[in-house]
Amino acid sequence: MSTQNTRTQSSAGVALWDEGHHGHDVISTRTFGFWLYMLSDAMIFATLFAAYAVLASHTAGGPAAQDIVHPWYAFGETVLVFSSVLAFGFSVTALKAASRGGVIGWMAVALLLGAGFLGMEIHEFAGLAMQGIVPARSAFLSSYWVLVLTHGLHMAFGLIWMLVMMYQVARYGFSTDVVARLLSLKYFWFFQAVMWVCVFTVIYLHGAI
Amino acid sequence: MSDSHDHENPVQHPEVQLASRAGYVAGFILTLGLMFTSLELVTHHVWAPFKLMVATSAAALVAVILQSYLLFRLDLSKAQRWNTFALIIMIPLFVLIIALTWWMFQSLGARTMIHGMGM
Amino acid sequence: MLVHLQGPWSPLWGRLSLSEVPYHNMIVVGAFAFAIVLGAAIVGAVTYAGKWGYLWREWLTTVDHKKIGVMYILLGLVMLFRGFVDALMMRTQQMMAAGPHAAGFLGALHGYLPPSHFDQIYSAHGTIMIILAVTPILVGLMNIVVPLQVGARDMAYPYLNAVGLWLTAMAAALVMLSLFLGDFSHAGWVGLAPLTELPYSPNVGVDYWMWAIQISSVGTTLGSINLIATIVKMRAPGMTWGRLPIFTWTSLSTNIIALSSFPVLAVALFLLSFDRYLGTHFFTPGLGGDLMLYTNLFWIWGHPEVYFVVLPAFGIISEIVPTFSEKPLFGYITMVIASMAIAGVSWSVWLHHFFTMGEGPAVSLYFSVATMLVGIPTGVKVFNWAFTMYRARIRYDVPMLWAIGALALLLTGGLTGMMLAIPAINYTVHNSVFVVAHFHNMFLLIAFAAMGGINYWWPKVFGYKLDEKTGRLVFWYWVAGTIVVFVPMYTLGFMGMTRRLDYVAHPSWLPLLQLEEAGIALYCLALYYQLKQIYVSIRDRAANRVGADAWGTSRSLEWMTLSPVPFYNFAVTPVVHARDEWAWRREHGYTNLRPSRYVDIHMPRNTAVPLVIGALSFALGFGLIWRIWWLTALSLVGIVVAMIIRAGDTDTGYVIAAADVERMEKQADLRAQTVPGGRTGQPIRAVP
Repeated sequence: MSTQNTRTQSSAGVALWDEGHHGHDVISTRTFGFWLYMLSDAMIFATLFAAYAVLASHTAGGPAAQDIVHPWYAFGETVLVFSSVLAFGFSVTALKAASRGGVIGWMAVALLLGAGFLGMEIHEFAGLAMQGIVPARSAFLSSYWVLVLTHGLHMAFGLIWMLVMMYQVARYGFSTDVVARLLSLKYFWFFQAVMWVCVFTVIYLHGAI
Repeated sequence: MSDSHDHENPVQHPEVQLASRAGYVAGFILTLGLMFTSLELVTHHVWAPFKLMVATSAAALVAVILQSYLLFRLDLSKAQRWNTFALIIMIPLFVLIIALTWWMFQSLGARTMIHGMGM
Repeated sequence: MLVHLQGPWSPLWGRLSLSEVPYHNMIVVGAFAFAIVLGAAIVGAVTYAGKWGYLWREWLTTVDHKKIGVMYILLGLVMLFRGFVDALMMRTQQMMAAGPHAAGFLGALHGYLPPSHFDQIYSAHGTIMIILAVTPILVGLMNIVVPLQVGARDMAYPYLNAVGLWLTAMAAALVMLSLFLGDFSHAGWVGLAPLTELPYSPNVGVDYWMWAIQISSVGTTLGSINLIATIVKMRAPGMTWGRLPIFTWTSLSTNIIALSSFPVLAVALFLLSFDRYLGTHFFTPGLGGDLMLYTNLFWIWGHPEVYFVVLPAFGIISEIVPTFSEKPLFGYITMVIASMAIAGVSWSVWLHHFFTMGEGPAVSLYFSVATMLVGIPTGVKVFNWAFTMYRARIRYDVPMLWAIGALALLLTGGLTGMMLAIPAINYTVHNSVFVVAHFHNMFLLIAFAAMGGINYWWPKVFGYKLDEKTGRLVFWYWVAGTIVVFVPMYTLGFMGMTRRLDYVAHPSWLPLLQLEEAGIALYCLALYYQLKQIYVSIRDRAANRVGADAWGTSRSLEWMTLSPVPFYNFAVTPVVHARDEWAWRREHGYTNLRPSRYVDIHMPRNTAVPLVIGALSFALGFGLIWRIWWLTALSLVGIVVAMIIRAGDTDTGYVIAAADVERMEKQADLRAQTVPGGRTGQPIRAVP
């Protein structure tokens, strides 16, 4: 960083202005901001869980959680989310080795696994809708659909982001902007695994108890 | 402030260098194992519902802590300390809004006798 | 999945039809004519002066934090005016509609506003004043001051900063549009559930309210991320946490509140919109919906929001009081702890907004005690300001007057707040105008501090001071108006008058209502002098130019750069040595602002993308409100595409060569030499 001799000094030798100051660390400033965004996103989930805690028993004579959750099916989704996150982790280790092919290849794997998760989730909810188990049926179902699908929406957004980043890595290589975005996407994608742990436990496991 | 600047190679940035293949693999295996254990406990109804609820919640908590450490690599190092600090500030808020909401609606339900009836 | 609507709908126009234009309402037509005349005058003036290019280049596409801050404040002031007109209409209606024999005009049984119109006015008044007036003014001040106080070139994310501004502006535009197309919510600014549900509010009013808040809160959340990152990551060398100015500290705590609380509001409103659009049952009276859940979620955001607006106000007072007391702030560390404690406790008090819900005594006790705890850090702050002023040589400049006025309001507002924290009292005065008087008291404290802040930092941004004489008149008329409106309102609250009355059943309350109307007249005078102050100040700006240190006794970093601040803030990044760096340099005689050499400066390039995203958000909100699905889908896709295009833009910054910086600084230097105090601030007065 800056040293004393690049600074304007007073007659008494006190440094007043720092001509050698390079400004801030762009990458860590960007990822920190994204981290803050994710904390606020986590608050969205916390609020949805609070609403679910209040409404879970308000079934209004309709199906309750025990009637509609399938923990084993949801565990399949868990495997897909976790392995997609693992693949993305390998993509980040490829970044460490500055391998474009590694980053893009592993990200493609993460993308496919994430798409597999979304496919399973869409299948699950389409099945519910076919049986008339729709959000308009009861307060419990409203909060069930909204909480689980909010996570799904995040997953879908992450997939679009991955497509954009695969293009950007291929096009621009590892510029400061691209690396900062890759690190942010890493946080975003890992965060979906954290949220899935909560969704899986509270909705699918507690629901089946 | 960190020592990295625009003109340096972004791949050398400390946050990129945090990536760890072993950490990610360990995180995958441990969290998946925890979730599987929870699943087994629940599907075989090993314990009474309340006990199951506590056990699975505890497993989820451990899984989240493992993820914070093994995936996000949160610690007090120079590169990560602000992320860690920001998270620590937020955690009480997550707990407060869920717990206080749950508490006040339990109390409301008990006094107005509408709890569980779905009105 | 979509709900069945009452009334017509077409794929192309959604719910829009010509009958939605309220041309039969004389008041709305008058407002429309006023808006058209004013708009035409502004457009005409800009065209006549040939300033469209300037406006586009220098303002609409800017990413400069000072200009964005100025636009935030301008937006806030315009909305403050709109909110004030709403207040004037409500006061007049209540005065005219007291007692069964009160005459009726313009289609109203009593007074001149039918209930449906009156209800929209109080809903709009609250929404506008809190979300679109006070918040933008404070966000604007933070935008301008925080990067300067930490010694940064700009915010951490200049582009995101502009996005936040345009989202807020578009939310304001949606609220204004509701005047002339459709209607606004009649369910109060809090959105009283289940009144906000589709069967009880079948029109678009609630949708306007809901989506305007939603869009502006995305803007506020982005702004909070930006400010936190700026404070954490962009501090100049030597600017340690122990040297951070108090305004920056309060900005930090306030934005931590915003970051954590606005998502809760977003969820509350999204769940409501699912109820209204998809027929879910979160807050409905039937099928398991729980209307108290809405109230709960709303106030989980709502109370932290109160501290979100009050903390920057405390920060402003903490900057003004030491400057005009010519002393360092008393109790810096306790001030920091108090700011953080207020933010922390704000998360455990929200139930006091609905103590009468019917929860158990233990729950009430918890929230009551937590609410009273807020009094401790707030009290610490009051004493710190008092001790700063104690035995000081106080100068009663206009900013100081506002700060002292804010202190007085904090005392009355805070003490009535303590009364309301006691459930027994709260049960008695719940929903009365006593509560209304209390929170207006608090919001006026914030408005006073904001006015002080505008007067205080105006010379830093524009290079000349606001006129003193008219400024004093604004202050005193505002004080008089506040007393004459709100003392009777507290009294009426104790007499049992409930809020939101379009008809006042007791003619015996009439004299007090008339007194309140007189107070509104005093506010009108304050408004007149406010406009005059700005006019006179701009006219006489040459006589009121200031040097770097406009007040001569300022203490923090922002007074170490030129007035007006150059777009690159500091030619060379300052090195910080003390808590009040500028005061420290003054005491040690280091008032020469010239570095030994200049260096290249990296600056972010202007961009039109934030404006485009703002316009698309407006279209998105419009499409959702009127249920025009093609427009909704199109604008949503447009926003995503704009973000992706921006992400592909690799040319987002540029460099000002050191020689150019030197040339600009030399020019500024020549200008500054014509000003008393000039380049090194005004002559320093001895500190006793």
